Order: sequence, then C-alpha cells, then structure tokens
Amino acid sequence: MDELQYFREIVTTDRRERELAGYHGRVVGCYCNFVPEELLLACGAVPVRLCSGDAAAERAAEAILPRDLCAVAKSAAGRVQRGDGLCGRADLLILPTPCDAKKKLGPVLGQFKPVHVLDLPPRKESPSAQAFWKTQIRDLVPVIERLTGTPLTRAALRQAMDLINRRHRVFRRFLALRAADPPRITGQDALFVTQASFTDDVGRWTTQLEALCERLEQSPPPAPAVRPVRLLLTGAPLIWPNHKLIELAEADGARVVIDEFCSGTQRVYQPVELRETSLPALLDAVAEKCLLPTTCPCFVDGTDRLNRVQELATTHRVDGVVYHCLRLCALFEMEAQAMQQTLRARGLPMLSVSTDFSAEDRGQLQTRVEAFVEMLRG
Amino acid sequence: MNRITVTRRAVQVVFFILLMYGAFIWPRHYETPLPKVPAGVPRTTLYNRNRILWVSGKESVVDLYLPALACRFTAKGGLFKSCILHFFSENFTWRTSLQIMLPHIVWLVVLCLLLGRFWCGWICPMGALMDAMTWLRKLTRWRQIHLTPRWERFLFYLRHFLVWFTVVVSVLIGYPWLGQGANDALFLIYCQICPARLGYPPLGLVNPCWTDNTNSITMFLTVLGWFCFGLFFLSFAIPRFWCRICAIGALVGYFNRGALLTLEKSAQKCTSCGTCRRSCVLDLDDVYLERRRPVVTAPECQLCLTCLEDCPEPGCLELKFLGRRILRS
Repeated sequence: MDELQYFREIVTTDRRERELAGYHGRVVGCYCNFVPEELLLACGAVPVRLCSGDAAAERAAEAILPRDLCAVAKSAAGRVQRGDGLCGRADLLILPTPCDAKKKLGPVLGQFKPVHVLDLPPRKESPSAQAFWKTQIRDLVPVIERLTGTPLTRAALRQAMDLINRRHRVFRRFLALRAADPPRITGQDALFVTQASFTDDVGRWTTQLEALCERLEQSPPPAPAVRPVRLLLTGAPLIWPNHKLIELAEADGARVVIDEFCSGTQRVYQPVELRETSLPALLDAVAEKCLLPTTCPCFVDGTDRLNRVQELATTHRVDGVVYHCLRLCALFEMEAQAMQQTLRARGLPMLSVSTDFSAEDRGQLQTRVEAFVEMLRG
Repeated sequence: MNRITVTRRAVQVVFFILLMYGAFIWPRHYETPLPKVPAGVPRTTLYNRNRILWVSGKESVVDLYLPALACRFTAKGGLFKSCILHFFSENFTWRTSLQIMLPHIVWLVVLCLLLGRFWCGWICPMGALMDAMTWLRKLTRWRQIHLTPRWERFLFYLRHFLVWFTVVVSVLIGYPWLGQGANDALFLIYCQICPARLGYPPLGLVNPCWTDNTNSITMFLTVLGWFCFGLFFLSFAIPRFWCRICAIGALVGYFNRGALLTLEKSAQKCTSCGTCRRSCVLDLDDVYLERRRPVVTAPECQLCLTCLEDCPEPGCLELKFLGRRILRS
C-alpha cells in the first residue's frame, strides 16, 4: 500500500536526512516523550526525536560508556558520537532525565553536541513536582529562542498547538482502525506509522495519516480464515531497527492490535488543552501535557500504566499481553510483577520477555512467543 | 464542537432574564405589604424604604425561593422571591412558625437534592454575570490569575463561616436582647454584603441605595458591602471569584455529594492528563485526583461540565441522574 510505504520510507531510509540537509533553519534533537514539540515548532525549529534501536551504534558507544548500560542509552550515545544521520544535523540536543542512564548521558553527549538537560521530577502527581516541571519548561523557552533567534509568541504557540491537536485527532481515528475486528493493519506497520512521527514534518505526517485512514476505511476489511490472536504490547520501547519482538509476535498470524510504548501509541496520543489562551497558560498546558499522561516507569507511582494497559486491553478486545523488558533497564522489569498480578486478577494472560537489541536470542524468543500465542489460541 | 458550553450559555441567558426581569414578563403589580407588627415584636420586621434594605415595592410572580441567586432586590421583583439564604435569614428573624416554613424548606431541599450545585453553574444570574466577565477577559486577552492554595483555604473557611454566622445572627436578632438599633442594622446581614444587592437593582435601572448612615453598624456594613461588590469584579481576572466566597453556594454545596445529579469518573479510563483540572473554572482538582470512588462532585463543583466537555478519553467522565447516564465525555 502506497500510503503505508511512505511511513516505512521515513523510518527506514535517509529521506528525512536528505530533506533537512538543505534546510536552513535549526533542527533540535529530542529524546524520550517529555520534550514539548509545540515550543520548538512555535520558535521555528524542527523537532526530531533521536531515540534509536540501532545495535551497531550501541556497540560503538561502548568506547565511551560502560558496557552494562541499557541499550537505548548506549545506542543514542553511539549515534551522536558517530554523527549518524540526523544526529549529525541537529543543532541542539534536549535530554530529559527519566532514568540514571539518561541523567548521566548529558555530559557524554555534550562532548559532541550542545545539550540542554530537562530535569524530570521523581513523581508527577504532586503539586510541587508539577510546579518544578513547569519551571523547567519555562526555562527551556529562552534556550530555544536564542538558538533560533525567533521569540516565542502567543499566536505562534497557539498555531503549533493546533497542529499537534490535529495530529492527535487523526491518530485517534487511526487507533479505531486498529481496534476493529479483524484489525485493519498489522502492529508493526502501526509502529512504522508512529515512529515516522519521530522525525517527520508534523503537518505532512498528519496529512499522510489522514490519507492512510481514508484508504483503510474504504478498503474492504480483511477476512482471515481464522480469527487472529489479539495481542497488546507494553513495556520498554521498541524503536527502529529493533522491531524484533513485534516481528516475532506477529509471525504466525497473531496481531498486535495495540501497543502502549512511549515510542508508539503514547507518542502522538495526547491532545493539549486550549481553554485559557494567554502565553503562560498555553505554556503550562504544554508542560502538563508532556508530563502528566505519560506512563514511564521512572515515576514512583505506576498506577497510571496499570490502568492504561487494562483500558487498552478492554477497548481493543485483547487476548493476551506481551511485556517487553529491556535488559539492564530495572524500571520496566520492576513494574512487570505488579502488571502480571493486576492482569491475572482480570483473567488476562501476560508473557514477560527480557531481551535487548542483539539478534542472538531470536530463536529462544520465538519459541516463547509462539508457545504463548498457541496457548491463547487453544 | 463545544455543545455543552453553548447549551449552558443559552440556559444561563434564559434564566438571567427570567430571574432578573420575570415580573416584567408576568406582571403581578402589588405593593409589598408591610408585615403586621404585633406588640413586643422587634422593629426589624419592618421594611423601611430609605434603609439599606430597600425593597422594590413589587413582589415576585412566584412566591417561592430558589437555591440560586434569584434576589429580592431586583428592580421590580423577579420570577421567584429570593435565594435560599435570604429565606432562612428573614424567616429566622421573624420567628416564622414552622408550619409556614416547612413547605418552603421541603421545596428547597428537594431542589438541592435533585440538582446540587447545578443551580450555581447553570441557573444563577450572578454566575452568568461572572462568566460574562471571563468571556470579556478572554476577548481582551488578559491572563487568568490563579489563587494560591493558602487563599483557597482561607476562602473555604470564610464562606462556611458566613453561612453559619448569617444563620446565628438571624436567629439572635429575632429577640430584643441586642437592642433596637443593632437589631435593625443586622437584619438580613448576608444580603447587606452580597454583591447581588448592589448589583441587581442597577441592572433594572433602579438605585440600590448605596449608603446607609443610620448608625455605626449600618455604616460599617455599607463599606463592607462596597468592598464585596468590588471583590465581585475580581471575577474578571479570577473566574467566578465570588463563587469562592458565596455563602449561598456553600449552603447548597452541603447537598452536592448526595444530589441525584452526579458527575462520575471511570478511574481505569483516566490517563491523569490533568485536562479536567486545567479546564475547571474553579481550579478544582477533585476530578483529576480521584482514583477510587466514581462520584467526583466535590462540594464546590458547580456541574458546569467543562471538564466533561474537554476530557479527551471517551466515556471517562459521565453525567448521571439517578444512575442513568445523560452525558459522557
């Protein structure tokens, strides 16, 4: 399908890099899901999310980082160190501090690029934490203004927020297609769609997704001989090119009908509230949108993710949950048990797998995932 | 888009006209009869035209009170007689017999139990005026001011103090212990500082009697009334500011949790995005914070339903009447 091919191309080729090579404005590299894109867009910068699942970059980073560090942090550093693609193009890196690895990554990346570290509070529900976070966002404004030379105005921010909200609306329409039975799109293709938004122009991505939704809504629904097993994927983010787990999960007829990754659904899911439209109110709205609905396990309280997974399992009529633990990321692994217990209480089976970017354990993973899918089918 | 807000504005305008100018629409012109004063009953039973408690001279069309700011002091009387607090303060002072009061009390309690503070959010003309001020502010692009938690706490104690202070004073001045001057001056004490008493008559082109220099108490209350009238205009910067002081609202708020009209939240559907708290005109965080119980109507919640309208999660917030769903996010 041509519409899908577009998203695959953005993720897997250097198309975006070539486009931005001829671009005269500023490009700002972001990590995680906490960076307010609206702010960057309003100041005329192009936000690109540089999180990576590149195994080669991960190994390269072992020259500057300890070996026993999570693969996401290592490969992010490796790409910046090598000046890969958009990492070489970025004029500034914005790095939030959800975990220890990301905290200490600041100075490491700082050897190669200017870095602005965005401090995250350890919990998100307390008023003091939220006040602190809003200060962090307000302090980010002059940094970006200096970089682009464009002062932040109310009108520009409002326009950027409208753009982000348009993106959110079409994404919810897309999610409804995944909730359909049988699902209109595979989980991996959906992951390509969301991960194309990492680097793609927001307006163009939205238009393309509208076209894809149109196409999917109009084409006749697939009629598989057997009803595919419906899976939910949660846990540590799968980021291109590390799509190993989702490939394996969908290999023999199962469908990942929804994921709960910060590199997937969460990425474009949340709208931003627009009732008060003065500049400080808009900034606060953006700050809250970046912090409050996230389900990152870096926060003390993990209830939000438990609720979120249960809700998605209900709305997408899920048969089983696959929980991805990234080796050496203690945060996701520590929340796995609570998730298992909660889902068991609801009669929902969960498979917890622990892996990393390497292809070595592929066979072993395949056996476990196949057995799980077989169990759900039976 | 914004269907709830548009409906609410329309309802507010309709009730503003009814409660402010009802007597023009359904005229019932007769002079307010001065209550007959038996010997030994304090003079506070009298309306005095030149006093601060000046009454229009025209009675309301319906001889009933409402749990919203339908007011005795509108230009020519309104559709309804007055507000719930006015009912208690005047009748406690008059020592009205329970036989006469009981039907009114039942009527008011039923209204409160049916809709809770929906009365404040949708019916109250003062609320409509304050919403109009917020609308003006947004039009002129001024920024909103948020009260600090300390101020919120102070105003919480203030409004509940005002409810009970009004009730206690109204009962006490029904007896001649305080002396005639004090009794006269303290009649309908809450009305004397309520911005509606100064604000409503000019809207019908009638002089509200701005000053009362009978004695030192009336002069003090005059100044306090001006001050509160000024506070009312703070609603321009702080949405519905007077609602945070209003004793009538605080009184109706006692019924809010038990009311048949409820706002309910599904904790599982909630993503904690905080949109409900951001859109709340009263900066309430009860909807955002609640994780266990389904009913989220706090005593301060006016069921204006902006949170329900803004909530991005389908079905997370629901408006229910007697357990039956009326609206959902």
